[in-house]
Amino acid sequence: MDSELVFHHIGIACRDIDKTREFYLGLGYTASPVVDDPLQHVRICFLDKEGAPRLELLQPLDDQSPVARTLATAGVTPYHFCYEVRNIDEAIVALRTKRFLLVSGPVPACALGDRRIAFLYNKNNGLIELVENPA
Amino acid sequence: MNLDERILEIAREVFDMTEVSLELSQRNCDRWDSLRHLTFASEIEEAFDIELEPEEIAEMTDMHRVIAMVQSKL
Repeated sequence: MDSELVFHHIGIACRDIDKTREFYLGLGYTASPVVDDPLQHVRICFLDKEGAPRLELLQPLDDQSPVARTLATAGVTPYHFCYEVRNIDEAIVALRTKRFLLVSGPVPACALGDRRIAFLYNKNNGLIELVENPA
Repeated sequence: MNLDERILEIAREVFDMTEVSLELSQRNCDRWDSLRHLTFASEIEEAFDIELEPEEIAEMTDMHRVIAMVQSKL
């Protein structure tokens, strides 16, 4: 199963997407349009640059956002790796057998064309996100 | 070591405290942050060989709830 996890992006918790994005634009990244995801309580912007890992900036929309809790604990910081999977339900079952907790999801993510996402946590590996790509 | 004591011992280790009581909760413990909350849930799963659902993890906000949750799954 592990070989079917394909790296997709690094998630970065930030307080203000505009301010954090500015640094990366200076490094040559191009930014996607900013999207609000009310289901996840976050504002999202993807950053791409050839030869560099894709980045996802996440700004909390309210205090209910899990990103708000991350910011309160650790400040502005990378806090998850995201992997693409063909079947998110099967991937979750496989990761559960490896002692990953299912923290949230699977739910559709509007910033990713309503593809389903889920967050899982393992005490030795931290927080990961899965995004389904059935194609 | 009974169930309550075992859960308190796990909490003591995860939250890095010298002493914990059954009155420990997310509200009265600064060390009970979001990442330690997930580590605590992970240790509870492993210690008791149970599976927790996302909603259950979110509800584990104090020792009494955690103990009740574990007892309901054994």
